[in-house]
Amino acid sequence: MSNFITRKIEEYRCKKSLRNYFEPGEDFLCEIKKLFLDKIAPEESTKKARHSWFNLPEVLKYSLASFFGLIFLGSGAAVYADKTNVDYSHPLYNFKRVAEAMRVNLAPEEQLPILHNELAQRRLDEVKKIEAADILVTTTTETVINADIKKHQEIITKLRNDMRQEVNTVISEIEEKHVQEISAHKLCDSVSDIIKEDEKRGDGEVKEIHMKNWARLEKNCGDFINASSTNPLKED
Amino acid sequence: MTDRFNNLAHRLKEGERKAGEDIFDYFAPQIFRFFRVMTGSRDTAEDLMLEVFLKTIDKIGTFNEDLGSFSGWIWQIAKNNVKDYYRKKKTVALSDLVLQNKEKSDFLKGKNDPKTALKMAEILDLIKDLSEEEQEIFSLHYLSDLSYRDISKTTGKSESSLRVLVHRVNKKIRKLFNNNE
Repeated sequence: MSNFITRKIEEYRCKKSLRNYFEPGEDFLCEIKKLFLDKIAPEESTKKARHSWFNLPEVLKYSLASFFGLIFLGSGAAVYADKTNVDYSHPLYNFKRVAEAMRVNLAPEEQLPILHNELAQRRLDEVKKIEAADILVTTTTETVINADIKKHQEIITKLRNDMRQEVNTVISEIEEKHVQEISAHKLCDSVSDIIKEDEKRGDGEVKEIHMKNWARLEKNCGDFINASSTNPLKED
Repeated sequence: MTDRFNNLAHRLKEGERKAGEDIFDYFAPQIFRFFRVMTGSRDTAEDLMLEVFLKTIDKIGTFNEDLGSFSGWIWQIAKNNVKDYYRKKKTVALSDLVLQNKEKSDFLKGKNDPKTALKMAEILDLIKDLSEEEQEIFSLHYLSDLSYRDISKTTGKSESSLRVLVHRVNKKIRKLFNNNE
């Protein structure tokens, strides 16, 4: 038995040594491989020259593909968010704002007041939705976390500032006569409605801004502003 | 089922570098061991192997997969190369013999223990005395660990005749180990 084991070990050792003896050298293999592949290469290089895209290294190809993929996905998400007018709480909200900024940059000059008016209306709707959600929470749960309310207040303030900026832009556009009379009529109505809605939820600090806006609006839209949209501050 | 190497050969015909790389990685070590066994010299084996792969590129256009597998085709180039080598040389030059003996003694003096070294020397002598087809089997079966199926594809011999050949070579090698007991 022990002889058998010894013989097997010896056989194994010999086999291993034989393999080493007959094995090709690494350097030699690399050298021959290079010669062999270089002989194929001329055809390969002309093939590559025909399709310059394939000349790029693999990593660069994947990076470019990923980059364009992300751009495609990002723009798709932005268009979707803008078209569906997602809420502030939606994960794609920031994409919506990016899409809106793009629209403002790309819109022709005569369309700008209408666009700003639409954006002001959107901000107002967003504020309304957040306020409605807050009311729902307070009535159903009673225990409202102060931090959440504070956060919501901050968001609302930010959105209202954005809205006022848009309103201001629309009024400026009307002042500078960049708007046709028919459009100006509709815009004046819409803007006065937005200002009134803002006043309803407003704080005392912005009263001055409203008064200024009303004064500018009356000056430019006095002729065709509808009866229901008259300056409520005047009544005070 | 389509042979993997026939597909690679098809791609090589179209000048695809990656196909050439795959073919080289698979066949180069086997063909080298074969030449090493057949010629007994590392330098000669290296020269012959380079010739085989350069011929492969030159002749790949003539390879017709309907007539046989690529493994058989490339292996035939290798065998023809050895035949040509011996035809040209007829007798082994003295310098080659000196080189072979030097290689052998360098190897045996190396890391092997004396008992294994002695056995190795006996095996190397035995390999020289094997017939051409036995040497072929020795390199493919013992050194390259190819299955009977793959060897059959390469050499064109049936699996059963390969088993007989392996048994014969096995017997000769085992005899060396038994003699010393």
